[in-house]
Amino acid sequence: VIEELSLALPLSRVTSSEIDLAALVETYSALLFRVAHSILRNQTEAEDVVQDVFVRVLENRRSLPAVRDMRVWLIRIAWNRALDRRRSIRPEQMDDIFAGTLIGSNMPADQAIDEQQRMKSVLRELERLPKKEREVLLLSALEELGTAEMAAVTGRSESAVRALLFRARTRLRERLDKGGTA
Amino acid sequence: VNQNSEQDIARVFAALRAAAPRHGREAMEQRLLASLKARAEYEATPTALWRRPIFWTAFTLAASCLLVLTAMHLAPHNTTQTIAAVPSSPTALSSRPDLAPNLSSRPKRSAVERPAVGTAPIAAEAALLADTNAPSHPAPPMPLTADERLLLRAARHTEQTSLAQLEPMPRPSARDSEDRAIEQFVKRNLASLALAESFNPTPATSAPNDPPTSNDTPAPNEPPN
Repeated sequence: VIEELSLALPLSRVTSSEIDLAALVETYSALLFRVAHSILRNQTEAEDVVQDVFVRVLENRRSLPAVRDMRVWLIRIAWNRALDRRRSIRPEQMDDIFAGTLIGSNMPADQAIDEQQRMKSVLRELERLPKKEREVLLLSALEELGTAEMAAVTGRSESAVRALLFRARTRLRERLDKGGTA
Repeated sequence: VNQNSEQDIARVFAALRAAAPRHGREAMEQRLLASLKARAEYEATPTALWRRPIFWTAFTLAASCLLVLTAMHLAPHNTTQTIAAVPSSPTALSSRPDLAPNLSSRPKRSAVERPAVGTAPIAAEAALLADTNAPSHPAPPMPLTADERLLLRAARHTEQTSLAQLEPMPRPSARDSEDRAIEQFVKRNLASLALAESFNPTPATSAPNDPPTSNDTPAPNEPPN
């Protein structure tokens, strides 16, 4: 992967390690941002996580050729960094802000409040899910990772990932139905 | 209700998929590359020697080696002192009969404490000098005798006359000075009395309080000399 990315930038004057890093940033920064944002629901925190990931890449640039799947490796770093950073913030505050961004601006006030409450209830029930189920559900929500990649990121088998995903969707739907989305 | 919840879930997930950086993707990439380049340049620039972690590692290793060498240098002195305290050779034991009976009851020493074979003469010599080299502790101060207390009191509070009673050399000079003082007193105060007595001589009668002369008979109670 690194060699292919290096060949994709033939006119650059910088060294090979910097070429690889620039290519990695261009290729994976958006995906890593979405992975971190799915956990943190905060843009600033997610950008910091992405920067931490590439700093880690820079520190381990000599061992990059030994990495078999760069995409999974980067996602896993971003995933763990986001989980670490999530312990220092309050997800409830982040969900309030994030739910506010989901509401259209040309909507009547009473309807906007109702929509915001429903979005907040979805996020709240998502946080109340068991940790394993929540993580798999968030990774699958991005629709960019296959079952094998999710298994590699979470460190579980593919069958376990599929079972967790099924249980998470069912449990979330049941809880929202029971709560009446109010 | 089910349809609404499905729609809400799908809406939240779609929002998570569509999340984008604050100032756009390209701005974030530019910022990331700039920060990474600055970091790489900072790591590439030569830093001061004492700021590198390897310097402190080497410094710690050097200090540890120095300590070990110092301990190894001081180790033979400690071994000699241990041998001097507990002699082990037969020569030393024959010269120290008080230690010979304790040989059987003494606990078996470990291999670390056992001296080498070539150090036996040194051990014997050290055992012979053990008493000489033993640390000396000064005796506690003894209480003063009566004479010492008297001497201390005289040396602190007495005058020249009292001091003359203790030392023989100034004793004659002190006696002469007393005699001269008496003679001056007699010459000065009794000269007029002697002159008057020469004109009016009085009968030589002894006062009842006068002490008996040497010609007097001794008292009957006094024992003869």
